[in-house]
Amino acid sequence: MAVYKILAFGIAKDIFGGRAIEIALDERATIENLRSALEDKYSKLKQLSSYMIAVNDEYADAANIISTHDEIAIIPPVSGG
Amino acid sequence: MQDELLRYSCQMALPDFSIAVQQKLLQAKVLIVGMGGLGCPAAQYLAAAGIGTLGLVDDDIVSISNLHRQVLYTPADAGQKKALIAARKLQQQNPQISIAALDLRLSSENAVSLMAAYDIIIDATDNIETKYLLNDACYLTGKSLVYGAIYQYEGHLAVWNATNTDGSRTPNYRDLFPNIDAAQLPNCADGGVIPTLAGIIGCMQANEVIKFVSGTGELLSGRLLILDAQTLQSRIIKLGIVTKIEITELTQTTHTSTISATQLKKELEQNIYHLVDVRTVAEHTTFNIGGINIPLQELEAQLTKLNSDTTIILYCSSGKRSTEAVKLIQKLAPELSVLSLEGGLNAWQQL
Repeated sequence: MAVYKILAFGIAKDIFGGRAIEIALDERATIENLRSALEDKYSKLKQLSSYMIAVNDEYADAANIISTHDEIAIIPPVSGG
Repeated sequence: MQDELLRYSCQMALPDFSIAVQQKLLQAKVLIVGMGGLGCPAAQYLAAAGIGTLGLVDDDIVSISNLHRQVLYTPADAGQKKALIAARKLQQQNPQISIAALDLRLSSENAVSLMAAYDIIIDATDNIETKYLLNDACYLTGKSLVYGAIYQYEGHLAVWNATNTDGSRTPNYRDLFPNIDAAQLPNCADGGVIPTLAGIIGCMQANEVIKFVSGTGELLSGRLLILDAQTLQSRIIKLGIVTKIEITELTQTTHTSTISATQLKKELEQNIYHLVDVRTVAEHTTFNIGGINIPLQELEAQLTKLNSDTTIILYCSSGKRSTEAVKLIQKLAPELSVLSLEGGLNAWQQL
């Protein structure tokens, strides 16, 4: 197992209860693995239906493999104007 | 220098700018959808800079809680139509340009024809449904869309659907967020918003339009800017060069059934309605017009509190959350008869 640090943006800060959380996953986990682990733990995240995951300031696809050195950000939509 | 160009002399002195570039601005047609916190500053700067034609779309009225961030309006404008007030004030600001006040709500029926006369569109809206509608309509008509959104201390900015040199299109809103459940997202009234952030992001939207029209600088396409107003930390997320999404048609706008504040006030005493306030508990405690309080985000879990014996009127401050609530109920419990209070408590208090 490896511990990944996750940054939260927008409503994800409220869902996680802070600006950053840590989550333990397998080494060489994928974005898809991360997504399902987070949604298991935080059901409200799943209810959003769509949120972006960025790794090192770049949009990450489901199959991307993450490392514990990566900066991983959960970015939900914001809708105010 | 010609007299009418005198007011633009300080921008024409810029490197990359010239009389020819200023002429491009004067010939440009920009549609701003939403004349709220983002639309006000964007419109003010574009009017000042001499964008020749501005279209202002909004069907909402000015309310007192708008004033902290919607800087074109004054307390005397409360209850008046935003598009009309904004057009009048912007015309005073720059009498040389042409301004169209479009007092209407964007829908799948009117979006494409409304946008046809404009070169570029600004998304200054405050709801997900209209953001998708603008995004999809821009995709289908090949227009670029300057996207802005704010929540609490966080601002987002991007240019969607710009043209790459090979003719392909840059990513759009659906590349990031294919399918959002709008009822799960708090809005400015729920979560709050720092007014200066609306000014910053709105100005940045105007800045992208000036770059687009003048052909100067580098557009924020294929990327999303996220700004944290508390730390001033900003980051630009790379999204890729070409969109991976294919949009073939507009999602039909769902028209929710509403009741006007005037009618509700008249019929309230007859006790024929069951009122539900979908604002937060704090807002309900401060002021309400009766009924029970189920905040929008808890509505799904508390749906059993509603019964089908009487017509249910959902209300909030502006009509926005109650519209979301009506849509949610129509989806989950279509047997219930529900109406949204049009214009919310803002309209109620104007009576």
